[in-house]
Amino acid sequence: MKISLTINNRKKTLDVPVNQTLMDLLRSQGLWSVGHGCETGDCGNCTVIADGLAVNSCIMLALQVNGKAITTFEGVSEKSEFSPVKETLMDFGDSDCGFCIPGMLMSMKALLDKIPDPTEEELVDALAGNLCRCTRSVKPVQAILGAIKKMQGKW
Amino acid sequence: MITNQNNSQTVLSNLKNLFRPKTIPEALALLEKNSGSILIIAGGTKLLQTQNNIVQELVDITCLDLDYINNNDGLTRIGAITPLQKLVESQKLKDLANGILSQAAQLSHHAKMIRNVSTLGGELVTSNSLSTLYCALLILQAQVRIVGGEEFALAMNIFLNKKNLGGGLLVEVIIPAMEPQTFAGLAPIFYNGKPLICACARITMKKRECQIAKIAITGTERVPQRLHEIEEYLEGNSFTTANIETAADKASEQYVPISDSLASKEYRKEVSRSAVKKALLQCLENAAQSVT
Repeated sequence: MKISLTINNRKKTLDVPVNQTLMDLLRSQGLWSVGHGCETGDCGNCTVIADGLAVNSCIMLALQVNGKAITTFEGVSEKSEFSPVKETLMDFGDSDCGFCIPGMLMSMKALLDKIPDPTEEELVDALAGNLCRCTRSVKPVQAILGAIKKMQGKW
Repeated sequence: MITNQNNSQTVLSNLKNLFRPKTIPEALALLEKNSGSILIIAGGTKLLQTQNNIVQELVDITCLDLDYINNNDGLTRIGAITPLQKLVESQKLKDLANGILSQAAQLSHHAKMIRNVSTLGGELVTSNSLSTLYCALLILQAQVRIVGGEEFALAMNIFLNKKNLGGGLLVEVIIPAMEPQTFAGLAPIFYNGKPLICACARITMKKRECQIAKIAITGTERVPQRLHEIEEYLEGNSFTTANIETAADKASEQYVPISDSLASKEYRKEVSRSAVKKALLQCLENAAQSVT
């Protein structure tokens, strides 16, 4: 079936199998930041932003995003406003293996686009679906809170 | 195991078609015509999590105008495809009975990414008895409106025991208006980050007396239960901490909890007492705050 969507600001019309997940579609487009983890929406490695909302692309059919705008980590990673986040993640020694980071950053971006100055509670809630087996998500939350302070007014 | 080029397990391997009806009658006609291997999809999170390989056709109801939270004529109406996160964020629901439904929606899935997609209707139709939403909707005396051959509304307790839509489509949840001086509380007991037991209470007070009490608990039996004996005990009596203690003691005498891999029946009995007490104390606290 044919779908039209925007992926990282580029309009595309694609012919997709009816049962293809959004995760598989994005990876087939070379967007490897979309992690292939649990396939059940538990780990958050496949997090992307669909029309401003963070979603698990592994439990969503590609057909469900017809007409929507999808943003993956590739779509934002080159932007300079992400630099403080990367720096702070390194400062906090957060990124042990790095597997969870793209998904976690997409959840964070979806939150910050909506709430530029979130509380710790809001941040923890936004990242609750992104598992980090190295740090149990303590360091990422500290790092992102630190990054937000650095970026105040710049996001 | 069947895999595709990206080496992921193929989901819905027998799926052949996805329909996008624009109206409810169109959706119903599709369901009637293709009964058996056809399913409804809105958020789709449960469907894809379960890796269903029997379903051959899907009816995507996201084009239907069922994503809303309205408050007209005192009734709160929530469309079936309203995402759970909208329930969490809705000011209308935060203002209704101390925001108990918003809190329950937040507890229904710990991951915001799931709540962004998962819908109220999907949650009600597919969830197991641990869902905190059932508990909150029970004490709010919600009804589910179903359209099919005929249109009808089912009280939440009947819907819970039946859960059979008879080929119909769940279109909305209707919550009646709350009486003035109504206060609510919700108390989950967590196991492994998820609510194992959850008690919800709604108390309507006149001065210091409890006039109406609605209490429900989920996670103790296969389906959520209303605790009618405690409600009767509280109604007409002063709503005090002493009476709450007695009510909580009575709570665990009302049922024989289930025992499973998550918890023994003895443990459930013990913690359900605490949950009921906490939910009632929250009502009392909310009442005290409304005075100040």
